[in-house]
Parts: sequence; structure tokens; C-alpha cells
Amino acid sequence: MQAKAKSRSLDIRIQPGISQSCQKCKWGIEDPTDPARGQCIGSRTKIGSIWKRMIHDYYNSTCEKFEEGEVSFRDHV
Amino acid sequence: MATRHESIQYKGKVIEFPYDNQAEELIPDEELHEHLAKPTTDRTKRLKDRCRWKHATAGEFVEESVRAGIERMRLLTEGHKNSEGKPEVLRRAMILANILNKGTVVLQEDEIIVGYHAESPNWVPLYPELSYMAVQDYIQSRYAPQPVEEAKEINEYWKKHSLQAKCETYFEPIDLLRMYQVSTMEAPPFATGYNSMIPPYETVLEDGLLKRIELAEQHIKKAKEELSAPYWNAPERLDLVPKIDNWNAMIIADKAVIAWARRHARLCKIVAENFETDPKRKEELLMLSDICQRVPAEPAVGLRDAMQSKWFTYLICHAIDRYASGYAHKADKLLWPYYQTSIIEKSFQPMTHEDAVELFECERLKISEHGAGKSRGYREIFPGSNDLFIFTLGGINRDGSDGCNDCTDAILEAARNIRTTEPSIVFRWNPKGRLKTKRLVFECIRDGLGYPSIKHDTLNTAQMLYYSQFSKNNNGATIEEARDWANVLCMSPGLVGRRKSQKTRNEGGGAIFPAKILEITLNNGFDWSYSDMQLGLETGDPRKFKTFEDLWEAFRKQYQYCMSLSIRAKDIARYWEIRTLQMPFTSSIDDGCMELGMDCMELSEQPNGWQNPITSVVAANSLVAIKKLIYDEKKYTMEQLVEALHANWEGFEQMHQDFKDAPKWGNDDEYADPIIKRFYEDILSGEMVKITNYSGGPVMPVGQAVGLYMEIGSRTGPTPDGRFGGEAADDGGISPYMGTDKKGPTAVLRSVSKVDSGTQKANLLNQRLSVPIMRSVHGFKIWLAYMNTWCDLNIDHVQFNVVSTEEMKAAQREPEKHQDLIVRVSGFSARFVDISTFGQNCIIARNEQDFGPADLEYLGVEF
Ligand code: SF4
Repeated sequence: MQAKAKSRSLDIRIQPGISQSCQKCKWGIEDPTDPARGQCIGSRTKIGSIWKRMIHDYYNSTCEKFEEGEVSFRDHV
Repeated sequence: MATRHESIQYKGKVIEFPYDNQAEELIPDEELHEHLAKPTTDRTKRLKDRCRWKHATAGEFVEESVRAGIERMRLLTEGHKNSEGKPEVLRRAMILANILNKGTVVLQEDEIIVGYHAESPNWVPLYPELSYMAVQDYIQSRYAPQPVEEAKEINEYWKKHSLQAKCETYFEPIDLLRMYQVSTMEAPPFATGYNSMIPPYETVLEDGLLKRIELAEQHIKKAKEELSAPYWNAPERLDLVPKIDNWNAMIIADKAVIAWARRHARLCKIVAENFETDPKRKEELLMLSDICQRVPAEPAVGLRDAMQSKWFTYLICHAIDRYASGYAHKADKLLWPYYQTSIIEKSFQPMTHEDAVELFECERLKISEHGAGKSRGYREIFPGSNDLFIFTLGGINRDGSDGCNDCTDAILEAARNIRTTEPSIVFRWNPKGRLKTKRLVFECIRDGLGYPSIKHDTLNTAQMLYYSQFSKNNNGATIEEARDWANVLCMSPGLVGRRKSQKTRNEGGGAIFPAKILEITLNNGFDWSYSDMQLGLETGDPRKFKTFEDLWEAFRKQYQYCMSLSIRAKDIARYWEIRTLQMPFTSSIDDGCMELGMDCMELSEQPNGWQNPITSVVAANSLVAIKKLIYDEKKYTMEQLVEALHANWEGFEQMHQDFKDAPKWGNDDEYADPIIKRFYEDILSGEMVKITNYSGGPVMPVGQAVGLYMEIGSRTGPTPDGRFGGEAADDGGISPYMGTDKKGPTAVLRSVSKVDSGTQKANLLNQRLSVPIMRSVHGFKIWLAYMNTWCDLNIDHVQFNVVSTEEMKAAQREPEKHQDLIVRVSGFSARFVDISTFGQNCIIARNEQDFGPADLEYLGVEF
């Protein structure tokens, strides 16, 4: 096993122009510094914390868990 | 009914804990804080009821009505275009004048301190000259300035002129990406626009701006005489040319500020004479008109003058000329002469102590509705609050006498009575400090405000002297000046006064995250859990590390890479601030800049370099667990650990339990504490001080957390201390990890005191104390003994949460009934119901420290 082989982002795929992009997804939020990037907040731990993943191309990425909607601030970090 | 603390057997006696205020025993635990606010007057009650809060959480403003205004960015751009071709410092002065001459002047009902910095008190201004990315985020959001097309056009213009654009060219794209994602290090100020400073309020209040203009004019006259004297000598005289530009820019800026203040005077008069029907308010408006006509042009005479002059200065330095977080000043020292004039001597603007308390409550509400146009990142990391508005009280005066006075008390009474999350207060704890004032500090803390947070006065004064030895012009702080300090933001001290105060965050501030750095060290620099990229150096496969020292040294290299990159970014930004972001108004009120004809971005007489390690205790506890279980006891291998972490401990339950049970910080533990002490001194500080910043001094660690301990936790995978991926990190500086300090409050003090405070610039210690103890008849006595012990142990800082779990859980169930419940998150206090549920749970999970007989004995408490 390689120490750096592991990744949590294998299911995120880049698809230029996709309508169901992370930016439109309930679980996507803008990166706090660069709004062209984003963060996926769809993964939660047992005690309720969000384990984020970085989305390098916020407008052109998606995954199978895409969902429409918005998350209330109460459900954020 | 309130819960009363159980009696304690102590030194052969039974000690009972009835409430200090007996009536409180009838108030249920879950609603105590809703009974504590007591605004001093009807006016402050009304102002609080209609306060336009700007709390943010998870990157969003909590109040629906908050929007970004276009006015400042429009006038800034117009001023920039119209001044093309002029020397840059003059352009900056002309831009400020353009904003002040044409911007909307705001006056609100009931106010006795006037002025706002956007076209509506619900709105926040934007700063495209700093970071185009931060403005882009607003444009994409529901707060977008209108018309949005114009906002886009303005931002497009600044993409090439902004500080961010200028600085980015000196970095490889990979370095920018590593900094911007904020997981091993905070993004540099040039990418976010975030800033902090300490305006030299003293000169404005003592001299008035007309005097500053006169001084600049005299310098120009003298310089011109020197220039035209016979026997031209270029090396001696050519430097006068940029100085003349600087002095001229100061004059333009000061005149604009006076004219702007007088627009407020006219507005107050117009409203009084044409619209106001209430004779009492009419009289007040005419009084305000008189004040704004005189200050800041002239010196302040009474307390009302001083408060208004301070407020105008604050708005210019922190919000109009440029954004800067914070509210740094030593308020009681600054205002004491005016308090004496108005309240004690009653020779000008006569008033009572209660009137002064009302004025300070009004100031708190002005700060509460102040709108910071800060980037998304900074709307995320102070959840449940507005911005890091913090001022300082107490300590000692320049001559070494007690700095507490009746003005200190009035400010503390206002904070206790009105109950607002902002501004937070720092109290400088000195054995000389009078008991009456310390009792008021206690009352604010006991009432659950979370402030004042307390700093060790002597340690921090010594630190100002330490930094002064590195002064580039040999003019660092004298002993008198070193005694005159306030916190710049939540933790780090900086000089206040007429000169030598910090003017930019590029001098000090910005975080580094040891927990994430350890995570990538365990993956040869690769970030598998958040960004899926090579985030640091390749420091080797950890499974091949033969000793604990191999891991230690690999971590050191990763940490040094982040530190050097972070400070390089700030100093490159400083280079460009000096050339394109001059602040002639601030320069005009700094005695050093005035004397030397220099802009305040360039002149740095007192170095004050620092960076903020956040999540240090997660990293330190992890190193302890690795050393014990892998290298000392050899119960597990590094290969097993890496595998378990990649599985987020799933399928490794026993191993997880063992790592979780490894010794933890804050328990006076013989195994853990020496390793952690070494971590703080050898790495966190040892590596930082090897770096020299723009001002010529070392960079030192200021351990703290803000809301980043949760944000970075969410970007950090599982760690060897037993944390799962995504869970919060430690809540500050040198504070034990939540729920792991199990040996009582004095064991925490003993652990923390082992780290030599002289090696750190500051270190935040969060403690949660039992409500029934603190509100009992013995509360003050026990707390005072705790504080005196803390002081004797030479610990830099401490702050307290005194809020019951019952009340926090009740607020989670019915938020609308608990609007006044305030909690200390990290270096700031927050409205509990404005925090995310996860953030609330993290605060509830903190260990509530009770005081047992052994603690009381250690503290020397006598009943
Ligand atoms: S769930 Fe998938 S589509 Fe939605 S933000 Fe996350 S990665 Fe993007």
C-alpha cells in the first residue's frame, strides 16, 4: 500500500458545462477564498460534523450524489 | 429553580454555596441569561431592540436585510481613474477625499454617536482594490451590490490594479493553490482583503486634525527651504521629494475628513431645525451638530467629543480608507482625561457616571451594527458574531501606576448591562489592578459574556520591550511605551499611542494549522482527505521512519515550508502596500510618520511579527500517541496507523480506543507534557523565530483558534489522537482538547505553565467554569484565587465560558427565546443561537470545570 494512494474524491468527475454541477448542488458551497472553486459538504461523520472535500472546478464538476436545494446555516460547520 | 452547587467538605468545614443573589435561585437553569440584560436607559434598550446586527455564520449573514453597497467601490474607482498620473500617495489621498466628499452621510434615530460607512446602515462596503476574489464572491451571492453589472465592471477594472493581482505574480500557481485552500495555512491577506491595525487615536483626540495639517505644512515649508538652499546635494536632499508628497497627501486626507465630519454637523442641524418634533431630541441633535463641527478638527474637550472623534477616526481607518478588522485601543487610558473633565470636574459636557455608562452602551451598539465587507472565509470563521472587534482595559499606566480608573468601571458596567456579543474586551491583569475593577471583570465573566478575556500584563509588557530591540531605526518601544499596549485582534499585543502602533496585518497575523500539517506529513506531503493533491513537501514515507525523531523532523520541514511561504506572502504584500495602498490619513495621525514624512505602510519602528498556530493540540496529542504506541511500546506499527487513518478508524476499533486513551494535554501528565512542551518550544516557536519579517524582527507564535478550529477540522482527516475525519480540532492555542482535561482546573494550569511563555507571543486558554460555583457567594473569592495563581504561574492568557449545558440545550430547542445567550467560542464571543448546531455542540462538549477540595487547596482559598 502506498501512503499517498488513498483519495476521497474519486467519485467527483469533471464534465464541462454540466447543468447538475456542484455549484447547483445542495451540498456544494463556494470555496472561502476563490469562488471558482468549491467545497462539498455532503459527507457527515457520526457525531454530526461535516468532513469536507475540495472541488477544484466548482462549475464543471459533479457526482452521483447531486441533489438540488440549499442547506440551512444550522446544518453547516 | 436554579441548581445550587453541592456542599463541599473542606479543611474540616462544610462549605455551602447559596447564590450571591438569592432571587436567582428561583430562575430555572435553562433561562438564566434571559434575565441578565439591564440596559441603563430607555434609549439603549430601544437601540438594542432595533440594532442592525451583522452576525455571520457558515459564510452567510444571519440577518436577511444585509447587502453589499456599491457606493464605496464606485467612488474609489472614480477617484482612481481621475487621479491617474499623480504620485501614488496623492492618488490615495484624493480617492479618500472623493469617497468622503460624495458618499452618503447617515444619521439614525436616538443615536448620540453618529456616522456610518456605507449608504445604508444595513449594508457593507466592498474593497476591490484589495482582493478581486472576495468581491467576486459577493457578486455571485445574494448580497450582490446593485446594479450588479456595474459591480462586475468595477471588479474587472481592479483585477489588474488590486493588491491581489500585484502580489500573485511572485508565486508559483501551486503555492497559491496551497495557500488559498486554507487547510495547512491561512490564505494571505492579499487574497482575502482581511486586515488589522491600531490607529493612533491619541493624536486625533489630543491635537485635532487642524494641528496635524499645520504640522505637515510646517514640514513642507522647511523641506522646500532645504531643497532651495545653495550648494545642491542630491544624496542629502532628494529624499525630501517623496516626503513632500507624503505631507501633501496627509493634508488632503485630513481636510477631507474634517469636511466629512462637518457634513454630519450640517445634517444634524438640518434635521433638528426642519424635521425633529421632540424638543429633547432636537436639543441633542444641535449638540451633536456642534460636536461634529468641532471634532476631529479640534482637540476633544469632553467625553462626548472624545467618543465622537474616536468613532470618526475608527470609521476612516477601519472601514472607509481600507477595511481592517478589530477595534484595537486602550479605551480607559484614551478616554480617562475626558471622563475626568465631564464626570469628575464637570467643566465641559458635564454628566454623571450613569450618563457615561449610557454612552459606552451606545458605542457597543454602534460596533454591533458596524458592517464589515469581509470575504466569505472570514464570514465563516467567527460564527455567531460580526467581526473581531476587541479593545483593551486595565493594566498599568506609562508611569507604572494602576491603569484601572472610574472610566474602566463605566465601560465594564456598560458591557455587563447591555449584553452584546461585540465588542469583546481584553483585561490586562496586573497585581496592582484595583479590586473594585477586578470585581466588575468577574461580574461580566460570571454573567456568561465570555469577556473580558485576560492577558498577563507584565509578560506582555516585557514582550513589547523584547521586540523593540529589533527596531530597524533604533526607535522601538521605551519602557513607558511598552506599558502602553492593547491586543491588535483577539490575542496578540501591540503598542498603542501616538506612534509605533501596528498599521497592517502583513506585520502580524495569519494562521498555520499543525493538525493538517501532521496529516500530510503522515502521507509524504499528500492530502488524501480534502484536496486530493500534493499539499506540502515530499518528506518521506512515514512507514520507513525508524525513530520518532524522523517523524519529528519531517513535520518540522513541512511546518517550515508553510511558515516561510506565509511570511513571504505577507512581506510581498507589504512591498505593494507601501507602493499602492498608502494610508495618508493614518500617517497624518502617527507622530513618527509626521516627523519623518513617511507613509505608515512603510514606517515600522516597532516590529511585531507573528503567525497563529491553530489546531496545535490535536497535532501535539497525536505526536504523544504515536510516540507511546508506535515507538515506545511498539504496540502498533506506523503501517497499521496509516491504514487505520485512511479507513477513518473503521474496522480498527480497539486501535482507535488505544490511541484515544493515550495521555492528553491538560492533565498535568508526566508522559504527555514534556513532549508537548518541546513541540511548542522547539517547533511552533523554534522554527518561527528563525524567520525575519519586513520590520526586522522575528516572527513568534500566537496560538489561538477563532472558528477555524471547526473549519480546519472539517478539512482534516482522522488524526492519531483518536479524532475522526471532519471533527473539530482543539478550541484554542494551548487549550486542552474538548472533554479531555479530566483532572480539574488546576491540573490544566499546571500543564499550561510548563510551556515557557517567553517563547510564545501569546497562547489562548479556554476554560469553562461551573455556573453554580461562579454565581454563589464564594464565586468571586474562588475566581480571584484562580486568577492570582494563574498570574503567579506566568500564563499568558485565559478566558471563560460560564454557561450551563441546560441553557444551551434549551436554546437549541427554542432559539427565538434565547437571543441574549452569549458564549465564548474562541477569541470572540458569539450569540449562541446564531451558530450552527455542530458549532453549538462543540461548545457544549467542552469540559465544565468544577472546583474540588484539592483545587481549592492548591489555589489557597480560605472560607
Ligand atoms: S454531492 Fe457531488 S455534486 Fe454535490 S457538491 Fe458534492 S461532489 Fe458536487
